[in-house]
Amino acid sequence: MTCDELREEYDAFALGISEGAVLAALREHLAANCPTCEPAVREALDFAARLSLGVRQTDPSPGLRRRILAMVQERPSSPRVGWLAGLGAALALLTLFTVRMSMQQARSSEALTLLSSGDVKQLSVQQPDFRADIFASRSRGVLLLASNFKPAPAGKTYEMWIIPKGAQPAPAGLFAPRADGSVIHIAEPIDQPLAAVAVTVEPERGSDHPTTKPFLVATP
Amino acid sequence: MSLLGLLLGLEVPEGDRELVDRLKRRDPRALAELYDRFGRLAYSVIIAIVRDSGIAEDLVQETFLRVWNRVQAFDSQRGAMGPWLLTVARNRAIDHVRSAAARMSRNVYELEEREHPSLFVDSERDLISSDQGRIVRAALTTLNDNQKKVIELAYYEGLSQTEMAEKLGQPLGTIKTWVRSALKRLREELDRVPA
Ligand SMILES: [Zn+2]
Repeated sequence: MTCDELREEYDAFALGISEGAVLAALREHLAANCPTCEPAVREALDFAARLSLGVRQTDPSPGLRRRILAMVQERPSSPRVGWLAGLGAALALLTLFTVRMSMQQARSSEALTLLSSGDVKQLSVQQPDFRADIFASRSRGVLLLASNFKPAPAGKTYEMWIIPKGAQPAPAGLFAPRADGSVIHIAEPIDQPLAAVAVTVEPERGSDHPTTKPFLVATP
Repeated sequence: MSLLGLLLGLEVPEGDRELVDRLKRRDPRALAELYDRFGRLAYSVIIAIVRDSGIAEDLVQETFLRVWNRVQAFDSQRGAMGPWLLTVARNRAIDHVRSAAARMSRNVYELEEREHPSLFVDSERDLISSDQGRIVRAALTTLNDNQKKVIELAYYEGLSQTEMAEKLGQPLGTIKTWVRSALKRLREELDRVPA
């Protein structure tokens, strides 16, 4: 197809609803850095993004900011934790979870990386009335997989804690179960021997120290 | 942060440039700033599509993680951060609401190709003004029912035109006509208002 034939298709492509021959042709033009189509598609993407501004503005919970910033907190440059042994079978488990929870690709691949790292170990969870598994890897951090998790009470959030041996609990991120009650939470690795991993209910912005009794505790 | 603040944030490309450079240097405070500018808008776009606050927040998190991980490919001289981030946000939401079958039948590349950072440069129009939300909503009201329906199915559900044809029980050609006329109409309306 020629650029001229594609002229009316740029906006539909930008919205993600092109298909068939038009889509294939547009891809070809873009792959070839077509001087007509490429700038036009850029402009159409701009237009599509502009349409997004028509949505009603709503505030997320205040905890979201902290959750997002927690993703990029500096990780220790050379983690040396002595408490982990290998574990292989966890992969099958994650596959099961992936199917059951239909979780998002980004997080599931992160979780897969953690579970497939050579130094991962499953911790024993002291027994809640929902399904929860906690895995720890000295290189990749701590992974919580759970189901049948109730939403936190209004104005509250769940917070994970990593408790190093002989030290105070360190905050390991806020999380909320998804609509189906599933949880996939990943915390950064720490540079010390691990005594336990715990989860508490905290005010929505999260806390620096646990303020309630943990309802979930896991130990190596 | 106020809507106006967010919109002003989108309006200042010089600010983008400096912010993008800091994101590329992995400055966590730059991510905080990016969130303060676009977090609410990204969340609003996503929740309009997925209609569940817990899922929406997960997807906002994925949006920012994706931007953080891909910002190296972003052109800090010419890049337009707002449109890129909103596109990534909408794509995450669409990917979530699409049925498993629809997801399988599509190339994974399909969402990726429309959100590559290199495509978000040289935003010619002043993309955003503080009135923009109102202007877009007003433009949507000028569509007739059929046009509105297909735009909603495209925007909120990410249906392809074939899928719309099935869903609405209309020939594909008719759907294409509605889509084309709706988009044309929206453009006219948006272009009529000096941004
Ligand atoms: Zn072309």
